[in-house]
Amino acid sequence: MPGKSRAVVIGVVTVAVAAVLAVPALGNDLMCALRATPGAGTYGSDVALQPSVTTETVTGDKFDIQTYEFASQTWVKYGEGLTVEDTGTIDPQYIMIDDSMTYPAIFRTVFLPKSSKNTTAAVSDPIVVLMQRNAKSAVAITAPKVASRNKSYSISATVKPDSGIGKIAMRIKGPGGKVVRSTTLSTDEFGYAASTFRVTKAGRYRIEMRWIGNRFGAASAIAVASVTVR
Amino acid sequence: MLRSRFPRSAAVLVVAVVLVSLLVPSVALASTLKLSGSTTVQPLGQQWANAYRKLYPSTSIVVAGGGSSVGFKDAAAGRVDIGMSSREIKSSDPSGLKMIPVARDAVAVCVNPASPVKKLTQAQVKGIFTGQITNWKQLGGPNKGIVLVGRTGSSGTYEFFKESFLDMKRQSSRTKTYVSNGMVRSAVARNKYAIGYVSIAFLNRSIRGLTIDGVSPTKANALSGTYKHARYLFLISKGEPAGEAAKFVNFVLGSAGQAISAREYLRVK
Repeated sequence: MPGKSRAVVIGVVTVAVAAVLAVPALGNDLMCALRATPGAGTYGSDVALQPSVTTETVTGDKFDIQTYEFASQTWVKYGEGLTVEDTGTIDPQYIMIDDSMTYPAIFRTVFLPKSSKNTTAAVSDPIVVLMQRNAKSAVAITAPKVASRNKSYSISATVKPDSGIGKIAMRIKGPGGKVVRSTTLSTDEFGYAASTFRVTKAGRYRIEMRWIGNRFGAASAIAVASVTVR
Repeated sequence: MLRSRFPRSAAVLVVAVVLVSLLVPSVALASTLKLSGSTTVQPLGQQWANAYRKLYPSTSIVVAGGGSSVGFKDAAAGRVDIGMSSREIKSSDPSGLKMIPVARDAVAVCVNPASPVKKLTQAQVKGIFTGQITNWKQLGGPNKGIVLVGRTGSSGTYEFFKESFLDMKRQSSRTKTYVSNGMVRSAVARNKYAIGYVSIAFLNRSIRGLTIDGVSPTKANALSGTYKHARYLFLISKGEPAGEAAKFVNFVLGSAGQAISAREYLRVK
């Protein structure tokens, strides 16, 4: 066979072999997959985990969702999994980017068909869910504009965007700029913190608050609210 | 003088063995406890087992699921020391079993604190979660679509919600299903048009539990039975628990065990 024709034949055969190897195995091999939409999110946002399988599902089939635990280097069950309630329909499971996970989080799904008495029939490739840290944060202070001496008032702070549980440094300066109170407040899972304001001297007070930052959100600039005490 | 037939080396060996046995602390024989049954109780059973093992490290405890019916059968047949159930015993279950209430579970329907809706009937809840009622204006609220939030199909909380509120009909496929009570609460707290359901222990200021058919979902109402969307969770024993099983049950009903129950459910003691 002339050299050029041989090269063409070799090339065609190589392409054909590669194509065959790329085709998923036929026959009875089940394959399942897991997709995360979106693949990354900020604190408090949702990610849909959608399993799929190369067969029609029936009522009673199950999908376990597993997450990879780095400490023990094992796959552990995440939640109670999904049970198919309507034949042919696999509803997604939602997770929330929050304190319950470390990130990046790695998931996979295990298909447990009812016909095989819930024994494992297929395991998906792992997928990764990333956490996007809020690059900028701000603190919104709620405080009275005018207050009376020797009376307690509620003051609160909300971190925006919400970055969950963390600390806010608070400083209250009185007339002449003297610091009358310095403390840290703890935010809840919604980025909210509360405290009280009570002073004995009249004058203009300045409440300063700064979000210290955590893994979900960067530290903020100092937010200021003024209170006139009579 | 008689000469001892007992060689000196053997005598030294005997003395050494006696001394060592006196000095080395005696090792308790390991015991094993097996539990099986309700998948709702199973995570609680595992938490109790983990805490119990910290007190009694030589006890090995296996906690398996399979469902409440499996718990009854396994306990009756002696395949496990303790069964677990999230329902009352039925006439079709084996006889001779002792039901020990260890926690109380109640499901509350919740909305965002900004929602104007404060009470619903069970029929309305069913209509909402089966997709028949889709807009808040149908319930006297704003003209906005209802955002449904719930738990995944394998969840014990969903199973109980389906039984107690939906007459065993499945929840609408529009329901965003989450893996935990905490995430459901967070999702409802972040969306003023959301409605969801959580175990009553998860109600806090970030969401509002709705009054259902005139009864508020308080712990007192759940424990008294006034709030009817509640049930007991049980450990099951074949006759009176004995030995290690009795010790475990006492632990579960004690302050440490009940503190564990109170994390996601209601304590019974």
